[in-house]
Amino acid sequence: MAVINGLSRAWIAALVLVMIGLVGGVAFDPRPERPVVHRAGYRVLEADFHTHTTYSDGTLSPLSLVRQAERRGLDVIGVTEHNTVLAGRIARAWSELTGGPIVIPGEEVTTGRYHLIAIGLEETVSPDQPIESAIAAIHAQGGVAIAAHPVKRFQPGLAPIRSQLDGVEVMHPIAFASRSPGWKWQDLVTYYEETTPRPAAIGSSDYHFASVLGLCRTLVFVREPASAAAVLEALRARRTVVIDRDGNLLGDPELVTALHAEPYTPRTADYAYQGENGADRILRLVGLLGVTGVVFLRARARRRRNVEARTAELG
Amino acid sequence: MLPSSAARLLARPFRGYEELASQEGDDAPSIAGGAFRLLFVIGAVVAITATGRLAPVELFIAAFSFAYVPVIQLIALAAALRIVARTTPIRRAFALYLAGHGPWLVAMLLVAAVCLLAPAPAGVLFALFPPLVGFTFLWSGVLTFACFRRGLGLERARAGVATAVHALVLAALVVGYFLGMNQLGPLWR
Repeated sequence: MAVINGLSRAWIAALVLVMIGLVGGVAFDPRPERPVVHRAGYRVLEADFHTHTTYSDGTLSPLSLVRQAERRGLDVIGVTEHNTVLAGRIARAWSELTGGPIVIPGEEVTTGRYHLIAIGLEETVSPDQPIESAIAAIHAQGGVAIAAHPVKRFQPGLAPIRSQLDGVEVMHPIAFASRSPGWKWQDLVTYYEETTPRPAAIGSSDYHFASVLGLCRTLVFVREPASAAAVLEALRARRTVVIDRDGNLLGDPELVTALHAEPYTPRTADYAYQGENGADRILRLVGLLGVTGVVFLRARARRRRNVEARTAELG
Repeated sequence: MLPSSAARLLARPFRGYEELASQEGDDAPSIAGGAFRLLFVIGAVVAITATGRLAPVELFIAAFSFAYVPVIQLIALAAALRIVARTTPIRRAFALYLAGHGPWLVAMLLVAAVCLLAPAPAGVLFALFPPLVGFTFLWSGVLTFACFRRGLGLERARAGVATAVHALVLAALVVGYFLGMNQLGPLWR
């Protein structure tokens, strides 16, 4: 009581709201099952191959990114920090320690002319070299190279290695909300369809912030047992399918046919912050209100009240 | 209900810093309190925006991940004081400075509120971000100036120079990190 005596009632009330919000944060934190599903003789894995962390312009640490991937029901993530594989290696170590999803370290080779996703790397591929050397370095490590959001601005930069691409991002959050007029989803689809030989269709969230990890995902058809190596092998063999914004299937024609015959519904996640139920929605608001109160209300009670309380205790 | 020092400074930067500088003992601002408040809000907002709720582990990990923020702020503040007011006690200056993060705290909590309350958060955030960040930088700059001017009692010109040096060093540290990680340079090549 002595500690509480020095604190204002309003601030204590805000602290209680924070505690309630934290309880809600544990109670309603989803950990969806990742059931084993097979189609066309392969195991189907849900993957997001383009994610960022606090090691550049993302808001989640590699540790939290792995936990968030579990929440989103992803089987595989590629951690592709700008021009470094460090974050990916940390995320992989953490996921192995905690039994999380398959984490494939990688990098978004980022320059002013092109962005190239490289996954399956152990060492950073320098962006300070011609793109031909960069893709050779990726393949030399056993990695795969994916054209990242190939909007018109980046297409000239990718041109010298277009026929060597293992994959092309054909779904990206710009399909739902574009950040600038030059970033058009349809350009990604056209680029994919006009690339020969046809690369793997890739759906990625380009995750930096907020809830959208896994919003766009790739269905990868791997050989058992599922592993990072099996995922990379499937990508090299172009055994992927992406479900686009309008529900169309893009990717390997045989697998698309198989999915038409026996449809597969990707796991959904709460990207629009709808909450699990009414209690969840209330508790999350209570938590936010509590945080606001703790920050903007005075913690210490007025001195005069303290003196009165002490006098009462002594008396 | 009485407002915290962060709330008072937000509303009245100059008067607020004058009052805060005169407080002593338990009422005086502390480095631990200011840093904790900043990291607590960062952690809470990262947890809410990512998961939709106050997930405790995400809150803790994010607060830890962003613990470098008050450190680089301390470096920027120390550099500014070294140039314009060498005799100013750095501990007291940093405690006062940390009390003035109100604009950023409001901005971050507003983003979290949009995520939880807006029917289509992505569209609102896209529209909100540029003016919110611009206004926050501006108001935060006013508070930093007020900290130097009224909190630490510097003359107007010195306070202005200190504010500018502080902003430059802070920006240089952030840009320096991205240059060091080779994440910025290749964009211009």
